[in-house]
Amino acid sequence: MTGRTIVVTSGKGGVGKSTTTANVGTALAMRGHRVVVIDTDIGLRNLDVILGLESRVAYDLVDVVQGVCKLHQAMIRDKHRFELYLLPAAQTRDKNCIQADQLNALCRNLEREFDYVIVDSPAGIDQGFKIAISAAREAIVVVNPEIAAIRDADRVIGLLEAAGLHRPKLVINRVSQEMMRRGDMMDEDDIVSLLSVEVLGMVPIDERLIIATNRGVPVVYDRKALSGVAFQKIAARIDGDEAVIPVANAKSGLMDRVRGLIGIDRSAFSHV
Amino acid sequence: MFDAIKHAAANGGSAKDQARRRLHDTLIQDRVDLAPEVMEALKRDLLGVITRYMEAPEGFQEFEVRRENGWPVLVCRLKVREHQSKIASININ
Repeated sequence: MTGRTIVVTSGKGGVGKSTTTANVGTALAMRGHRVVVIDTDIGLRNLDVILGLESRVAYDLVDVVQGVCKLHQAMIRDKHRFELYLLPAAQTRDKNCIQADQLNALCRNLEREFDYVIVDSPAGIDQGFKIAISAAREAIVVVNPEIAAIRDADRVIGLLEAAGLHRPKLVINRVSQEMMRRGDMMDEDDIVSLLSVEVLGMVPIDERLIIATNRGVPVVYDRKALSGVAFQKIAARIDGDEAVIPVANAKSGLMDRVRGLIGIDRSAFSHV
Repeated sequence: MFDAIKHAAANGGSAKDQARRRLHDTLIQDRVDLAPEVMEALKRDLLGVITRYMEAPEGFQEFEVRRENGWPVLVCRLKVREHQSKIASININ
């Protein structure tokens, strides 16, 4: 059985691609899968800091494709989940350092060893984006409920379809249930009617996510965080579990609330 | 500055409705890469051709470019007169 290679992309920058990659990757690992997340944003590396692994980077993606090091030397094992690995981007190189066929070969190789290969794409729609999507067999588009992000997402969806990545799925990040209730923010129906794609889930704006990122611990470990719960549900859907689309302020189950009172998933912070 | 926002609010309904409407039109242009005035010309010409064969008193009820199975699809919808009395509906895909 081979793994699934999924690209996370958006067109517009700053919508939460790397945050989504880190949290969905971690959540899939928490579900027992072997996961590798690849940062392809060469020159603007960030997935390492979001996962709290920046101090362990020795080699990177460009080193691997250029044969400077072995693949396993560049892969960093996560602190909390031993099923999760990061392949970091090069920080001091540019996007011409890697070719589509090289990333493609790498992903095919990784699919033999991992259940999920998640490729974090750079923003934009030029070379780096094209290389990132060329290796993937499925795509997730991250969007915020605002005009510029949705317009860029539509463009990206067109490019994904043209590249043979059919039916990309949408993650709507930074939603405010309160603003939607007031009619001040586009809701899921609005976005689906504009983009005609399936929604994997909606992630609320969440201070706890900012705090978790500052600490270098993905927010999926914080059981009190609504954004973390949303990312867990998105991972469950990717994994074929038809969980209900998370609503930003949905009431959680009794056990979730009890765990919430205790605080966070202890396994996450015991190593910190 | 704030007056400009208030003015826009007074004229266009809720903020999300305005966003959706503006995006709806922008995405159509983006998808087919035609300027709004070219789309208007296409609409006018199409209506002209159709009304040579049948009556369409209300004009287009729907005229947009949607994405279906990955392809942009021009969807037009208008009511036409049937036997001079009844109204039927036709779709052009």
